[in-house]
Amino acid sequence: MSKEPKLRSKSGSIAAYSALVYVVVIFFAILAIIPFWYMFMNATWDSYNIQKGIKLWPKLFKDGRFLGQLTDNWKNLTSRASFSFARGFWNSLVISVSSTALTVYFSALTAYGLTVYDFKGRKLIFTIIVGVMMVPTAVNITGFYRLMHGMGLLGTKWPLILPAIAAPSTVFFIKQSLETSLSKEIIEASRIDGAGEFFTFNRICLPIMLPALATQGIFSFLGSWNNFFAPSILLNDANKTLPLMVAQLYGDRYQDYGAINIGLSASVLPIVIVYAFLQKYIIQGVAAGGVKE
Amino acid sequence: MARPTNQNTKRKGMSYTKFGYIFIAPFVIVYCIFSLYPLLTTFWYSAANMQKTTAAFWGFSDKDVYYDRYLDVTPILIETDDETGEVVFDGIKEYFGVSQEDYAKIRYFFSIQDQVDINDPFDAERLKSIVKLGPKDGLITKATIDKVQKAVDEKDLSYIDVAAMAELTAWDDQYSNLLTDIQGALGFYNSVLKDQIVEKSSDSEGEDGEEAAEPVSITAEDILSNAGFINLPENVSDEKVTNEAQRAFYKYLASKTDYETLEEYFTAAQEDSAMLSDPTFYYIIARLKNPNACYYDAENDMMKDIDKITISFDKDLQNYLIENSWVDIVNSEIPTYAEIDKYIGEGDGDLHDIQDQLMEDVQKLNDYGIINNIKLVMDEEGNFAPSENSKENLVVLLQEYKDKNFYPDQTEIDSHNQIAAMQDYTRVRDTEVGAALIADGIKVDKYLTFGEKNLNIDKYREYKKLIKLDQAFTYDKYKEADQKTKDREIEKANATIKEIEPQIPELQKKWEANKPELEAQYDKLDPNNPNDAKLLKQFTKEKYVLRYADTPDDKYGYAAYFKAEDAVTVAHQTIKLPAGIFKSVNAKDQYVMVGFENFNTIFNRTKTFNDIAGAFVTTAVMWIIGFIPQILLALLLSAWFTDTKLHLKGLNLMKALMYLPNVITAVTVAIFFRRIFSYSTGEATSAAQLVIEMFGGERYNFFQSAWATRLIVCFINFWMWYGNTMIVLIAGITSINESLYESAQIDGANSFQTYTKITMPLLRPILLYTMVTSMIGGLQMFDIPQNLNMNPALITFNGSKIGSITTVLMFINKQAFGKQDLKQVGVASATSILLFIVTTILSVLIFYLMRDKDAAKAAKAKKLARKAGA
Repeated sequence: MSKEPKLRSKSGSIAAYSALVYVVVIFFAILAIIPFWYMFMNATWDSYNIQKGIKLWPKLFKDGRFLGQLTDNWKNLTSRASFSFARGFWNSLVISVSSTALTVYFSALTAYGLTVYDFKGRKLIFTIIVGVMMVPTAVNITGFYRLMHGMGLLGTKWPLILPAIAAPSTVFFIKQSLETSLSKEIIEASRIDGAGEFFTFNRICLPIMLPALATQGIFSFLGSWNNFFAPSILLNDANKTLPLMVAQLYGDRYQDYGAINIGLSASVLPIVIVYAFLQKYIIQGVAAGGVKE
Repeated sequence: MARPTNQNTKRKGMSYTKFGYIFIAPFVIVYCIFSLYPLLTTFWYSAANMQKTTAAFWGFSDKDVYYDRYLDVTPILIETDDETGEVVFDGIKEYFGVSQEDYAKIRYFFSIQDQVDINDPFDAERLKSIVKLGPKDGLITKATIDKVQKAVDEKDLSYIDVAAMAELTAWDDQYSNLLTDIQGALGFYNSVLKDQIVEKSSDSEGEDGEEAAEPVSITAEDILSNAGFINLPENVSDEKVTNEAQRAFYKYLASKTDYETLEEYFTAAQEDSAMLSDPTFYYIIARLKNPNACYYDAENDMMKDIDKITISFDKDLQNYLIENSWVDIVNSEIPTYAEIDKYIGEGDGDLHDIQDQLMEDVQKLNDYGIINNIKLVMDEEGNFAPSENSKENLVVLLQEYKDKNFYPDQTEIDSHNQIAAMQDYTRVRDTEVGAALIADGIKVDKYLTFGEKNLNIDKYREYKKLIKLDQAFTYDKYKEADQKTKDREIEKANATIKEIEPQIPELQKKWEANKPELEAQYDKLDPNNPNDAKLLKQFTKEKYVLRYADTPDDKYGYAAYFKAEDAVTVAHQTIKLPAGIFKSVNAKDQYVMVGFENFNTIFNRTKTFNDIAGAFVTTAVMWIIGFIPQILLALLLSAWFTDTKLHLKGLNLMKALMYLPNVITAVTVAIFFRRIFSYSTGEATSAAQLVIEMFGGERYNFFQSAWATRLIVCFINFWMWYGNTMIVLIAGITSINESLYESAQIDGANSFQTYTKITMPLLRPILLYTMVTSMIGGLQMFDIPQNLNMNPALITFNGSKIGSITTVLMFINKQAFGKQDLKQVGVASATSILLFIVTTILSVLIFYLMRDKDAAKAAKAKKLARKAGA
C-alpha cells in the first residue's frame, strides 16, 4: 500500500537529482572549453576592443573584408622576426613525428623481446623498466646537456629525437597489452613456415599490436608536441618548436593582444582538430591507464 | 615421432632466446647512453666543485679554446721590475714562443666576443626596429638606412661608417624612454645595494669558514669620542653657517628628526648612543657629506650645488651603521639586489606586476639614506624637495609609469638598445690591435659568434690559424707552460729558503729580546685611566704585545722576524703545491671533487637553503592545492557517470570536452591565463578585471599577490587534470565486478553505502596510481609557472624572500641554464639529486601506505606458514 507513493517520490527525486547532475556536468564541460572559445574569438578582434570588454563572439568584418581583423592580426604577428609559425610548426612536426615513430617501433620491439623470449635476466630487466618509469626525466638534465654538448648535438633536434628509442612507460604498457593480445601459436606457425625472427615481428606481430601502438603513439606524439622544458634548454633559435615560439609571446614586447591571441590560437587549433578526430581513442587510452601524468 | 619434434623445438627455443637480447638491445643501449649515463654524471656533478663554473664549462671539450678565452696569462707570465717597470721575464715568449703583441690578438678577440655576448650588435629584430622607425621622422637619411640594412644582411658592421653612426647616435638622443630611465635607475640602485650591503653582509658571515679579515672593532663609543663627531654640532650651528641656502638645507635635514635644528640633534645624539643606529642618522650624515642638493643662485643666474661638509670618520661610521642597521633593514624589509636584478636583467618582465612593491621598497631605501641619489632642489621659499624631473628619481619615474599605465614602445627601446650595442661593439673593436689586424687583411667580425648560446669554435679556430697562433697555444703547450711555471716557482722558493732561513734564528733572538719591553708597558696600564681601561678591556697581554709590536720603524724587530718566517712558510707551501698558470681560471682543468660540499652548501648557507627548500615547498603546496579539488571533483563526476540509475545521456561528449584542456600545450594555457589575469589601471584591461568591475568590485593586481599567483597556478593545474583523473576513475569503477553491486542491492544497500563499502575500497589501487603519477608530475611542474609569470611576487620563506611560484625545476633551470654569468652547475645537480631522492621516497611511501593490507597480511601468513612447515 505504502509502496507506491514512495516509489513515485523516489523516481521524482531521481529526476531532480539528474537535473542537478546535468547542471553541474554541463557547467564543467563549458568551463573546460570556454577559455579556448574566448581565445579564438579574441583572435578576430583588435587589441583595443579585446581590452575593452569580454568578446565571446567573433568580429566578422573589418572594412568590408571577411575576418579582416583576423588577417591583420596574423600579419602583425608573423612580421616579427622572432615568431615564425611555419618554422615552429615544421620543427615541432619533425621532432614529434620522428620521436613518436622511434618510441613506438622500439618500444614494441622491446616489449616483444621481453614477452616472447625467455632469456636470462628477463624478469630483472622488466622490473628495472617498471622501476625507472617513475623517475622524472628532468632530473638528469645537467648531465644530459653536458653529454649533448660533448656529442656536438646541442642546438639540433637530435637530443629530442634519439632518446625516444628508450621509453620505459611505453614499453610497460605495450607489454601489458601484448600479454593478452599475442598468442604464441602465431609465432610458432611463422617459424615453422621458415620466417626469420625480425620478419615475424615486423610483418606478423606488429600489425596485431597496431591498436595498442596507435594509442601509445598518440600520447607519445602529444607529449613530444607539448614538451617545453627540455626544448627550451636544448634547442637553438633555428630549431625552435611551436611551444617555444608561443612562450615568446609572454614578454609583453608588443602590446598587440590581437596578435598574441592569434598566436596562441594557432598553436591550439592543430591539437583541437586532431583531438576532435581521435578523442575516442585518446580517452580509451587514458582509461586504460596508458598515460603518465 | 613425438620425441624428435620435441627435441627440435627445444633446440630451436634455445637458439631463439638470443633474439631476446637482440630485440631489447636498442632500448638498453639508448637508455644507458641517454638516461642512465646523464643521471650518473648528474650525481657526479652534484659532488663536484662547480659552484663557480662559468658558462664555458659546457664548452670544456675544446680545452685550448677554453684557456684562450678564460685564461689571460699576461699577468702571470710577464714579470716586471717594480721600480723601473721593465720586463724582466717574458714567459709568453719563453714558453709559447710568441710575442706579447701577438698574444694580444687572442685577448682582443675575446674582449670583443664578450661584448657581443653581453649585447649583440647584430640582433636582427632590433636592427629591424631601426629600419622601421628610422625614416618615420625624417631624421635619418635613406643612405644610412640602406647601410644598416646591408650590415644586417652581411653581418658586417663596417658598412655603418662613422658618418652613419653619428647620424644614428644623434637620432637616438631624440628618444629617451621612460622604461630605459627606470631600468637605468634600477641598475644604479642594484649596484649600490650589491656593493655596499649584500657583499658586506656576506663578508661578515665568513661563508667559506675562513677567518674574516680584521673585524671592524669600531663601537658607538668610538664614534661618540671621535673629534669629528664632537665638533659636528658646532659645524652645523647657525653661527658657523653663513650661506642662506646651506642653512635652509640644514633645516630641511633637521625636519627629518624630532629636533628644531641639526645642532640640537647632534648634541642629543652625543648623549644617546642609541640614536646612532637609527637609519635617519646615517641619512643625515650621508647628506651632509654628499648633499646632492642645489639652489638657484640669482646673482649668477644658475643652479648651484650645496657645499658638503667634511666628516673625518665617514668610513668607520658607515661600517658601524651597516653592521647595526642597514643589514637588518635590507634583510628584513627590502628584497635584496637579486630580486631587483630580475626587474632589470632581461627587461622582459612586466614591471606593472610589482610596481607597488618596488616603489615602496625604493622609497624606503631613499628614506634610510642607503641610496642617496635623488637631487634635492630648493624652491623660492627656501624649502627643499626631491627633484621632480630628475631621471634618477626612481620614485617619480615609477609614479609616472604607474599613472600613465605606461607600456613601452618596444620599437623605440629596441632601436635604442641596438644603437648602444653597436657603439659598444665598435668601441672595443676599433683599437690598435684591430687596426693591426686590418692591416694584415683580417676582419675579426667574420670569426665572431653572434646571437648564439655557445662560441662557434670552428670559426674561432679559423681566426687562430690566420693569426698563426694555432700551433703556439695548444692544450699541451698550456700544460707545458703550467709545468714550467710551477718549476720556476719551486726554484724561486728554494732560493728564498736558502737565502732567508739561515737569518731567522738571529731575527728571532732580536725580537724575543725586545718583547719584555712591551709586556712591561701592558703591566703599567692604569685601570683608572679611561683610555688605559679601554685597552685593558680590549686586549689580553698577548694580543696587546702583538698589536703594538708592529711599528713603522720596526724598532722591536717584530716585522723583520715575521716577514722572514712568513716568506719561508710560503716558500715551503709553494714547493709542496705550486700554483701554476691554471689557478686563475674559474673552472679548473679537472674540477675538484668535494663530496657532499654542494649539499653542505645547500644546508648551511641560509639563502641557498631557503631558495631550494622554498622551491620544494612551493611545488608541494601548489600540487596539493590543485590536487585536492581535482580528485574530489573527479570522484564525484565519476560516481555520477557510472551511476546506472541516472541514465545520463551525452556522456561521451562531456568526457571529451572535459579532457580537452589536458591535451593543449601547457605553455599556451599559461600565457593565455597570464593575459586574462593581468592588471592595468587604464581604460583597457583584462578579462578578470572586467569581470570584477561587472560585479562592482575594484580592480585587483593578481600577480602582485603571492597567494593569488599561486592559486592561479593551482587552478590551471586543477582545470587541466580533473578530466584525466575522472576518466581513469570511471575506468576503475566500471572494471569492478557487477555482481558485487547486485548482491549489495539485494542486501538493501543504498547508493552511498555501495559507494563507500564497495567502490571506494576497490578503487584504492587506482587512486594510488592517480596520486603517485600526479605527484611525480606535480614535482616536475615547470611549464605553467614559468610562463605564467617569470618575475612572480615574492613570498617570505623561513625569513628570506623567494619567488611565490618558483618550482624545483624552475630553480634548477635558472641555476644551470640561466643567463647569469656564473652557472651553479654543482648546486643545480645537487638539487636534481634531491628531487630524484624525494620522488623515490614519496612513491615508495605512498605505495607502502596504500598497499592492500589484506593481501600483505595473507602473503605474510603464507610466508610464516612456509617457514613453520620447513
